Amino acid sequence: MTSPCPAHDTLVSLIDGELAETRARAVRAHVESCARCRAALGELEALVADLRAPVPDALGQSPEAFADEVLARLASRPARSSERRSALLGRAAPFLAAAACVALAVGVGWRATSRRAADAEFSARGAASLSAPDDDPRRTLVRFGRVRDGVFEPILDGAHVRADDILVGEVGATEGAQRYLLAFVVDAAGERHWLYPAWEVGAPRPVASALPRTASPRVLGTMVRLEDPAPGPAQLVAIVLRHAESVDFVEQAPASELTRERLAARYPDALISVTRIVVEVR
Amino acid sequence: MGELLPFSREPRPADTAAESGGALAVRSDEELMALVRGGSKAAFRVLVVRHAAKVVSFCARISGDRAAAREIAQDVWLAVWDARARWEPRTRFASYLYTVAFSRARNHARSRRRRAAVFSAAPLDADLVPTSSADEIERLLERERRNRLFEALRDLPDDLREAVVLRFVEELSYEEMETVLRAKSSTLRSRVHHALARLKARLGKEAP
Repeated sequence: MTSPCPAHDTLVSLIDGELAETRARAVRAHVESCARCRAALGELEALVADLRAPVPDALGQSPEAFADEVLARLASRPARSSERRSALLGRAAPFLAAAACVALAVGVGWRATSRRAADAEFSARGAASLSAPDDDPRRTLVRFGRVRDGVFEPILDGAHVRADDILVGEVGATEGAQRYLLAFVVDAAGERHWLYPAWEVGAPRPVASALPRTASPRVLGTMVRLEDPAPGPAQLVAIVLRHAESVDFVEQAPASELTRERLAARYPDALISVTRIVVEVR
Repeated sequence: MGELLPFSREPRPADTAAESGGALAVRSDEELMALVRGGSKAAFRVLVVRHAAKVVSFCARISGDRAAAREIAQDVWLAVWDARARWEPRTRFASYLYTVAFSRARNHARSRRRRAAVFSAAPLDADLVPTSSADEIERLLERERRNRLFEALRDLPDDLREAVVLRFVEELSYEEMETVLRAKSSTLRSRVHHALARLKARLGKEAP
């Protein structure tokens, strides 16, 4: 008497290597004696073999010619002004033109209403490193806000941020040596959305934004709107550095490397600020 | 404010005579990458040649854009070069390479969808030369089958496509996939099964 035919899912588990050995042996024994299951398994195996085969016409040249093209691009990069690199790196939609208008419209108004909260927040951030030298990045005061109805609202821990909110950073205590900012949102799907630097197709190479030197808090000149963020818990991360670090590490690292602790270990002399937020998508 | 400053990453001098030529071809990926860290373009070229076809195919599958796959793959390699100093020798190079490729290709897929209303990005099939040779016909049929599979894969939802490619094409374990896709292995198993079922159903319907 033959055993009953296994479910299609079981055949998938078999080729996926996910069946326990005893079960796998039983299924293989059945398949040997059942033409229908043999055909079904054969189709799945052919499908997987095709999946593993090179995509037709994708490379379109010899591997050596491809490698030479890569090296040629490497050699020519100092002159690459029109390279579309940013389109492949960036996820945030720069909101530059509109942002400039908004900054002019609200730049004075919001500061008057939020200055007290800003001072309190900045003091709290700066307190831990008051003994550091004046030009130590860890003394930098940095926070973020959203602009709603022409009013700046600070984004505090646990804040709900709408996907269409206009976001902007504010910095202070940046006198002394030049400092640089990397700021980004890691959304619930682990995607990175850049705030600073924000860039678009044709923009210069993506490196950290140079911060203005200022003792009192100043809003930055670029505002950003996230593009297609995943809804749910997210982190707004700011890293203030002594050097114009590339965005590459943040872009390429697993999201698990972007916690406050891991980033502090990677950038021991930098200020690391992590704000938990919740992204709402309508 | 928000000013972008240039950041120089000039390669260090390397590529000694001992590192060039056929001797490099027998070195492991990790050994080559150690040389790349020191600035060896000869070692870098060997790595690119070795992985070129697989990385381009991977980029095509994840992005769903065969026409752009080569350019995406070039960007992947430039990123590998740029980040060479930060490469951890304990890491398996292939895992690192496909993590970078996945990020770039997925990003392109999203960017491409945003432009979909502007551009019609359907790639044209390459020239199919009429032939009467049995081998040639078999080759063309195989190519046509793989083309249809590529299109079926491209039309899958992102989460299913990414899961099935990482599992069956790159042969990542479910534990490795958890890190890349940030989902539980039980969810990923389910996605892989659904993806295969949908591919099989679609290709079955389209079969001549």
